[in-house]
Amino acid sequence: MCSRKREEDCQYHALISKGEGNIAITMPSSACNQRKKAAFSGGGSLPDEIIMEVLLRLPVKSILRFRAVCRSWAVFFSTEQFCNLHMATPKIAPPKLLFVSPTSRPGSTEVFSCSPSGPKDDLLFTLDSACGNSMQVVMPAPCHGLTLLFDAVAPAYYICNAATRAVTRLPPFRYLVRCTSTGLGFDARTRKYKVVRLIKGSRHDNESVRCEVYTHGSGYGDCWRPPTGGIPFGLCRFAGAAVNNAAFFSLPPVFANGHLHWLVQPSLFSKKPRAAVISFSLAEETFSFVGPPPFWTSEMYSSTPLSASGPEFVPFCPGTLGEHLVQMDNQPCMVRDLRYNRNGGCVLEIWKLPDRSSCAWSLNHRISLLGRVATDLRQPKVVRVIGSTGTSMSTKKILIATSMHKICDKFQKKVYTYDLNSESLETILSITVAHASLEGMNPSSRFSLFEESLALVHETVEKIKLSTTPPPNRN
Amino acid sequence: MATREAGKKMIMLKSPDGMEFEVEEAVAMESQTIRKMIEDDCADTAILIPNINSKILSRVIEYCNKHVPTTGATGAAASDTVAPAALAEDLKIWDAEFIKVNRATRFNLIQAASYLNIKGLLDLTSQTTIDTISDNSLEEIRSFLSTKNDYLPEEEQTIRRENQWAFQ
Repeated sequence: MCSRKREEDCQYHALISKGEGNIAITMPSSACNQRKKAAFSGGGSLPDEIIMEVLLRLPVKSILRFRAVCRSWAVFFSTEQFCNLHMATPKIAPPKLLFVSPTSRPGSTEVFSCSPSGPKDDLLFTLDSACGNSMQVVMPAPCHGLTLLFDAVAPAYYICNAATRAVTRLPPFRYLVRCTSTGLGFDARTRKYKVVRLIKGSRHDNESVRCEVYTHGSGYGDCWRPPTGGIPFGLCRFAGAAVNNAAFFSLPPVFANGHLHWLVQPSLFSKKPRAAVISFSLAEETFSFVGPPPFWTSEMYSSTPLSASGPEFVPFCPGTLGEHLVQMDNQPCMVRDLRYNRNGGCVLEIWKLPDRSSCAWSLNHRISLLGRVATDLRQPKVVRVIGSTGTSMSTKKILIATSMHKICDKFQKKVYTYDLNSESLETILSITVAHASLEGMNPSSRFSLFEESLALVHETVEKIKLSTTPPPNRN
Repeated sequence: MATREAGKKMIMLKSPDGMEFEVEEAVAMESQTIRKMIEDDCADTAILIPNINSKILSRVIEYCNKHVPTTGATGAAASDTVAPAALAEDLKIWDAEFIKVNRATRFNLIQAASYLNIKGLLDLTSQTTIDTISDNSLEEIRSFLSTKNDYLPEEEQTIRRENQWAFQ
């Protein structure tokens, strides 16, 4: 783990120039660096920034091991600059996932990593304080290297870094009601992670929405608090509809571009709502909204669920055929599920939300699902785009998660990569899980993408309290 | 761009040891550094590439030749959306063959890719280096770096204990 104290004795300075998209770093010549220079270059003269280019691509496991090479390496790998640049450097690796799984022992959950190319699943850590079948992964994509887990029985949140296998339990939150939605975000200004909860009041009270925030590693007493800016009165109705939508359809918020985004369900309104997406700025802690996309038509605001849209549609089922949000290339996007299109096509559309650079919605991808791909993706009730891998168009793949009800409380969940060039679908994970409730329809309730990152997981008061009483967590 | 229609505009690259390489502008512009020079009109008929000898520069040009978008060759509309999977697979095999060089050459290529800002080449050369060292034992790394273990035994034990799994 990175140690902050060491940073002070570290003689390393980073000059980061991001203008050209490249990263240049200079290290002052210390004795160790000189040795490094000679050794890495095989006797030639290899500048320090070249050594950095290589070290920034090391897998986290190697970095943790190489800390034992010598003191100066341990110090160097622990600096915040190195951790940040390491995270920002794209790694060439097939997509990996983490997934949570109950153990044979009651009240114990195991978290694994798996990759399509890997021979077997790796056990990352065990949570002995968490109730096995109640553990959920809140968001399908990590936020700057960290993943948020939720134990619905305790109830308690956990923050983990799957790459460093560090996990901590957050202190108890304040409002214990069912209709809530929670997300993890990153404040780039203070470089702190924040967990944000939206809580809706009673069913008929649309106006009452509250918000609480937990800052990870803040030192502000380690507890939940109200945000700096409350929910403006004019947005309360939409925020309420967004929480309803998130809770009922198991639609977690999406973190992108410094904001957490919640989707408003249009069918809850009798006319076109002013807001389609409610956004929360992690730095300002204020709320704003994004107007409706061009494809929201009047038939969607009928106060009745989607089944009213026409006989061509399959019967109404939670989570199907609506829209959902996804983060792609750090931009918030809305996915339209048109698998049962009136025109007979089987299409997923990905629209980029308007932002400062453009005030209009733009269609980024239109994925026509053909042949076997269409068959595979038409079967499951719920299909969600959960992100993308690869930076250039030629290597870009879209990650799709599905959930299908099998028998009783059993749901089959799958993760696919969809190659935009070859238009082919590849399964990377298939698990059958037991769920008591609607949560079963959320394809990503048990897994998240895996990100190679050195992001720090801080000890919380709650974690220390738990670890002093047996059984301790293994990390 | 006007130059793209011409398709054949040539640029002269000079290495410090006096060799000259005539390459298509589109190929040279695989390097963001050279691209910027051309776009800023800083490039005359010949561009001197400092610190990169002719042997390395010729390999870099070989790489850029292979990786330049195929739009010029086929005359098709410029687009990276139509790169078929087969072409990507072909490039991957070519890359794997290209990077079969000794360590000194590979390090020189990293340096050149970094200076010329050729992302693909930098990724390829750095990643290959990572693949060769990430599984090395600590002793191998230390001898590779000709550095000494300056930990006290108990300190090293602490580090090992903190992330036991990484050492398995």
